[in-house]
Amino acid sequence: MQGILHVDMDAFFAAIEQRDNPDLRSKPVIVGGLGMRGVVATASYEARKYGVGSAMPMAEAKRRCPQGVFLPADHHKYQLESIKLMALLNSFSPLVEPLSLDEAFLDLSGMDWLYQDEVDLARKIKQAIFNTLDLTASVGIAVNKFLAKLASDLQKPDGLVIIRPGEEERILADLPVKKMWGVGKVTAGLLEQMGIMTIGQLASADIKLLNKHFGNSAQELLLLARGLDDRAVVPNHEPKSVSNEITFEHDVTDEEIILIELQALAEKVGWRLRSINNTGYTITIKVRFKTFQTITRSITLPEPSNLDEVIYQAVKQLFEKIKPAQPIRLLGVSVSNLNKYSKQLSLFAEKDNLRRAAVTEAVDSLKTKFGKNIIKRGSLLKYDLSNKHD
Amino acid sequence: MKIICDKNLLNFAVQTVQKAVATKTPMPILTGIYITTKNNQVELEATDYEIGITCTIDAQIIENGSIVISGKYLQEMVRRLPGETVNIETNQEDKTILITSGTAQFNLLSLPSEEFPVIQRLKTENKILVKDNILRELIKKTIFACATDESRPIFTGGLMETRANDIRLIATNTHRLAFKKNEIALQSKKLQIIIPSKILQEVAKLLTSDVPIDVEITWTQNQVAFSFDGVYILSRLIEGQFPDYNKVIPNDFSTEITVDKQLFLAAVERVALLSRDGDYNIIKFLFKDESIMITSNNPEIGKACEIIPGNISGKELEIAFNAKYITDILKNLDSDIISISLNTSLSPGCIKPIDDETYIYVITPVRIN
Repeated sequence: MQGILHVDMDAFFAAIEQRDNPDLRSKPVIVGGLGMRGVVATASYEARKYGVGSAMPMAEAKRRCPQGVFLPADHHKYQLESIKLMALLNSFSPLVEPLSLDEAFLDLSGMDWLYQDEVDLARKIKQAIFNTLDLTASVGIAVNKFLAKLASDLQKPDGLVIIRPGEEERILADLPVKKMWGVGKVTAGLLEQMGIMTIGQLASADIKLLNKHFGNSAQELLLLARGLDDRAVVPNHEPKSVSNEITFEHDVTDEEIILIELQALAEKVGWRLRSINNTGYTITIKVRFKTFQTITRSITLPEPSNLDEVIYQAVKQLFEKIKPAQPIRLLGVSVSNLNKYSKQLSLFAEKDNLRRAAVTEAVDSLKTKFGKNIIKRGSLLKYDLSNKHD
Repeated sequence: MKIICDKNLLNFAVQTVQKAVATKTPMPILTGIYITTKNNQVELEATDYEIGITCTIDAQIIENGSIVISGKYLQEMVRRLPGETVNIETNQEDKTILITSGTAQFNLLSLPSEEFPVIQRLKTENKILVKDNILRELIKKTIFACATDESRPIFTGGLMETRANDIRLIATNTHRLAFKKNEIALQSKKLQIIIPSKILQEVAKLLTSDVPIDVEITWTQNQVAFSFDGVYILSRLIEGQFPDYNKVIPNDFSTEITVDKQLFLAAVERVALLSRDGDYNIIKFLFKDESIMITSNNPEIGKACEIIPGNISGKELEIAFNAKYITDILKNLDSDIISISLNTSLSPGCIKPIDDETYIYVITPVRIN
């Protein structure tokens, strides 16, 4: 058995909400940022019938599907489900590469002894996901990552598609270019201007012409369009940074509110770092003003950290140096220069951080057990931040 | 240029400066060794801008001049020359070089010597003298504790400091710290610089005299030079603030252990065989009554346990360390009996030779559940 299998959960966030609340089943459920400037993260298949899709402005979704159930994204919950999903996939293949919370590649090489054939394996994976998570997934199998990902998308939801060697050309020929991995709105728009609408047209396009518009990535585009992709499945793609942002419904000037929002962002980033057993040296704040002018400022810590308080103190210090003179539209906090969390203690660590680490550990175990709202910092209670962050 | 010099002397000089010859560089001139005449001596120089080394040897000068020869070829060639002396001469414009020794003859192209960044000796009043055996010992006993990853440059160097009548070198990777000091004659200038560990290692390798000699250390804001026996080593300094090491050397302990070094080292090395887990080799110690129990447990491989006798005073204690941090220091301790001083399973401890306050090693534990 050879090839790559791509697993893609069906309407992951919405499906989790529907699973946990029977009242929502068979209703159009739309998860995302609910504020004026929010966007759709996931729409259930019922909602998609109304033309609601990911990354659509929430206002537009509400217009298209006024009877929909609109829910704020509970990333913490989705992340826990994702961890279960990845653990399950890891039990099928030693080479699993998570692509996002709800997507992963599996390398099937050398698994002949374990399963009858690809279809048998794909069915078993789908069944296991259904039994464990009570959710459905679509699976694609092909000789490479690009085709496998494309295959999983062909029969959603609950799909199972195999692209066998020799079939690539026929399947790719009439698909629109935006179905290609890595081709977003901008690239698709450029291609369409050049008269290239389908992957088949792209495959036979003139490399020189493509070079002019896409430079170095022209070669890559052309190979993908011909169904060629030699990227390997790399387990544990190490993240380079962890960040969270918030766009305010109304531009903010009140420093007290800004600091509270920064604290909430620091907690999210800290939690995510801890959940992947990482720490980071560099803390960055991003501030976008009303005018869309955007600035970032960074600081490097003497010791890498994943503690909410350490991250918050750093961004607070950075923010105070910025002294913004105009209303703020967006705030972001990121931690980079990551370093695996180590149980090896440090000589120069602040004594306070040992205590903070112990407190954080206790708080995290509560959150894992009872959900993220079980315990909160007093200052974060004053304002209802939960439905604004996503 | 035309010179005649002793082959062994020339070989010594070439091997000495070779350490500074650049290997990967966009500037071809840095792959060469610069040779220039000075009175009745020749000076060989190499630099990769991180480190520069000059070595001066006696020679018979027939005609003055300067050349640059490929370091790689010169080094390979000189040590194989058959004669006792070596003649080096150039044609009119110093473009090609003729090297003869005994029956052998080489014709080499000279690199453009005017392009070579000749090493400028530091002009400064900052100067101290240290015996080479002392400097070598300071380096050997501390520099292994430096960080190897470049994320925090300051910890890839050793902090060299002088006090009223001692010189000390401190190295740390933030998880362990080695401190060594030696008495020296009263110095008028106070030294406090961070020297890249690679440079210190090279300096230690070049300090090989049997009879102690003086090493002159000079320094400026961003450079340091070591000068001895015709050798001059120039290096950049690491800039930045080294953390206060005095704060992290603990003084009061609740558990104090003395143990035979060989016995302890051998047991730790055996138990550590089963401890490898990524970057960590975690081994656990239980200091209780008159024994030291050392254990390791790797769920994927197996377990190891060894109990050795030790002298323990104070509270019993269970603590885990990275085995490498333990073996590193044990290999550098000269005394047969060593002292280990600890507090809690989460606070740093000290390992020292018994009855010697000039050499201290601080080690942080690994958190265990």
